[in-house]
Parts: sequence; C-alpha cells; structure tokens
Amino acid sequence: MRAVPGELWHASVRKLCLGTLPRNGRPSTPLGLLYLDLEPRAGKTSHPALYTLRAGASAARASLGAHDDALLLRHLPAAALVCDLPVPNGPGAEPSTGDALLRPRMLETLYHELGHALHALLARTQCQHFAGVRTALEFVI
Amino acid sequence: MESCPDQVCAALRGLSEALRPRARVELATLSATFRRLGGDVHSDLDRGAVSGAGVRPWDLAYLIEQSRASILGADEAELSQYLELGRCLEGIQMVFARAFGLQVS
Repeated sequence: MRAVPGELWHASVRKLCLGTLPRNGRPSTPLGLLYLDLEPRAGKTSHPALYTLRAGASAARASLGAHDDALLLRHLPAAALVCDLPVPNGPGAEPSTGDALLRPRMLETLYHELGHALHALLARTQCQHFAGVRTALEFVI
Repeated sequence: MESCPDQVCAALRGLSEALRPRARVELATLSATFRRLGGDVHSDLDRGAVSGAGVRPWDLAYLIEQSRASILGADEAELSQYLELGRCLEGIQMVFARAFGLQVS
C-alpha cells in the first residue's frame, strides 16, 4: 500500500493494508494498517516487537446514539511490526541472493509478531485500553 | 466472532483437543533429544512437568533446534537458504487468506 510523504519513518519500512478477501464481487474491506520495519540499523532496537500505533476501538454506542452495530464508528487500527532481520547483501548475508535469508528461529519470531499484529488489527472493542494486544503481558521466548 | 467467555473457552478447548495428538508426537521427539543429551527425566525438577518427558518450557528453544538438526541433518544456518523473507511473507499471507479470509495489500 502506498504511503503519503512523511508517513514512513525510514525508507526500508513497508506499509501494508490488512483487509477482507474480495467476495461475490464485493471489494476488500480495510481492517487495519501494518507497518513492517524489519531491518537493523543504527539506533534502532534489536528487540522484536509489535507496537499498536492506533487501537481499533469503536466509539461507544451510547455516545453515538446508535442502536445498530453497523453504525458504530471504528478507528482503523494501525500497528508497527519491528524486527532485526538480516539485510540482503548486508553483513552476514549470502552475497548472491536478493532477499534476506532467515534462520528458523527468526522465522518463528516474525510469525509470532505477525500473530500479535492480527490480534491488534482484528480486535473489536469499545474500550480503548483493552483493544487488541493491550492485555496482560505474556512471557516471550 | 466469539462474544462471551464460554464461547472463547469452548474454542480454546476445541483447539487443544485438535492439536493434542500432534503435540504428543512432538513432545516424544523433544523428550528423546533431552535424554540423548543426558537430561534426567526423573530429576526433582521434573515434578509437575508432562508425564516424565523431562521437557520444561525453558528448554524448548534449545531442544527444538537440536531435534531439527538431528532429524534434518542440517543446522540452522544451512536451513536459512530455504527461508527467503519474501517467500516467508507470501506463505503467511496464504495462511491468512485460507484460515481467516484476509488479504494483505
């Protein structure tokens, strides 16, 4: 998905839109935005993490005077997935390949964080403080 | 969508039942690796762990790596040549589409 000028904090960050699959001629409905910041660089944390940038909470039914769930206004959630994966052709990478090569543990970490991303982007709640991954902290290995 | 705690608990129990047979097979593999590396399945620390398997949560990452290396005859660095980042992201997008009806664009 294209980013507007100034939206991305580094040239290597990718912006993705998570949405429903198009079905029966109906187009995809956007569900949330995901920024992938996967490559190491100076000054960046090396700890993999998923940060909620904007929680996907709906405005409270009472405050809208709405009686129909379809009328609830939902913030389009946004999250940043931050990792420390090897850069293609960077130190430690195979010089002949064009794409970063992951060790199994790195792949598990990436998929683990993507699980958090789904949690953050698919949550349906009216409580901002409980949206998505804003729950009790897990023990991450 | 799950709308009450009972539904969430039922979904989690169903998932647990469905995954248990495969998990048992994996546990047996990890337990064999644990014993091969000299682990004592009857140590005091083992009390409370799953049925004498000797495998505890903090051993998982190491035992998985050691098991994978001995089964595939390749270490983690060798396996990485099959795991290109772009392909791995394509793969997880297929899972998102099939399991959850989601697309990434």
